[in-house]
Amino acid sequence: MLKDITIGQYIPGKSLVHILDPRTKILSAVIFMIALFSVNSPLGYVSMGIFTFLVVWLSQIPFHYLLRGLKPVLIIIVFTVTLHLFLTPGSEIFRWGILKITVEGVRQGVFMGLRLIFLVFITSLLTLTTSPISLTDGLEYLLSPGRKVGLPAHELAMMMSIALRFIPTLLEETEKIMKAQMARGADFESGNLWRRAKNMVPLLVPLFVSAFRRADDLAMAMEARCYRGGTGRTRLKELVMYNRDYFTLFFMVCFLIYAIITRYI
Amino acid sequence: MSVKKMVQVGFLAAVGFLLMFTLEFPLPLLPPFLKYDPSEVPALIAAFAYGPWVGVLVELVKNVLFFVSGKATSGIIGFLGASIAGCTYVLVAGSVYEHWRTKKGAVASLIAGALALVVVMSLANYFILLPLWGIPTEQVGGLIISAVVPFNAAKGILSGVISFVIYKRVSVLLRGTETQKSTVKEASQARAGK
Repeated sequence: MLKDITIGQYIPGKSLVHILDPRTKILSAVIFMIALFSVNSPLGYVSMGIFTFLVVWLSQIPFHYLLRGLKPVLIIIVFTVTLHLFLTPGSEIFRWGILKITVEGVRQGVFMGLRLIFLVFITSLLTLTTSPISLTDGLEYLLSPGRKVGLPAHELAMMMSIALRFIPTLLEETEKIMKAQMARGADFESGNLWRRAKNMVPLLVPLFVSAFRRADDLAMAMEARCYRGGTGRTRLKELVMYNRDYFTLFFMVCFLIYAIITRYI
Repeated sequence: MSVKKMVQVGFLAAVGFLLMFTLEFPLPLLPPFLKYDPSEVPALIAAFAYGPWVGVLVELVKNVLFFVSGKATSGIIGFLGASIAGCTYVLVAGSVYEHWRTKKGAVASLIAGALALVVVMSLANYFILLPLWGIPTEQVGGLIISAVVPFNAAKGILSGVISFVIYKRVSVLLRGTETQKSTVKEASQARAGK
């Protein structure tokens, strides 16, 4: 049951998408999402599709990895498309009992379906081509201007790194506690709502206790090595923006302007 | 923020992240993609022990982790929804408990948090989330009454009950060493004073 939890789905590679700076990738993904939500015409959606598949091709990520990302949201996509298909008023093309399909319904349904599929593809691509650690680094840089208004950018990134480091350890711990409690007759997988919620207590209490013990040890170890926060700290891996990063960002801004223009032509 | 608190927030976020997968189960009578998981519990415990904003921090770190881990395939929409929900609940419950630190206060804070969760999530779904998913506007109202309200009410109540039951048992450890340290400091000061 717990085996399919891997942190990150990063697939190492040397493609153009892989070697871009994480900051470039995060910003580009954000710009793409804005563009995706602003298009509203066949031309716009075709352009989005071409762009998405171009990036997928450039990244050299096998296509079935992206399809796997689509699985969990498939129900929502089908649900949305069906709602649009049958419930959009307009000129009828097919009727069966109370259900009718309209031209406008088909149009809206296809658009919304494509929008969600492209959204999932690009988000998956971001995490498939960037490791969680470099995403965290990128986020720290992008958030650091917020320090002036009291946003603890460095601390946030440090907490993220600590959490990423200890998730496998805590997962092992969870598995051990679950087995130990199951051997004592605990049941985590059946029963009604209240039973299931109540049965979580004998798992959660030891899990928290174990997490706090480890946190204490780590905090002490960090203080003993004179950790004092982000100011003046040097890094092993500095993030560097190359020409390709500036070019990508420039291209993305042009793409966004183009996407907004397709709304009006 | 002290190093210790920062490390603890990291660990609580990691526990919350794990709980998202290990203990999730679908709720009866609701669509199967709305699953309950007790991932708010660590954030609530942080909010009770250290104040509402630390709870919000746990919630945010947990959700960013969820995003960078590639589990949040719905990308920005799922992240947005989870963050709005979690932060509202933790912020409201934490703020009430901060000013009313008794057993009764804890119950009141959790009820207030669950109520705020239902109201804010209904509004957020109506104006932001369901339109982003592309649900047609005429269907949004019905979906909120039939799915969003019962789901968030159930989630708020279940997480609240679990947090209420385990908070006292684990908070001793969360804050324990800190009080020990301060008593040691007081004792040494008292000795120095003599």
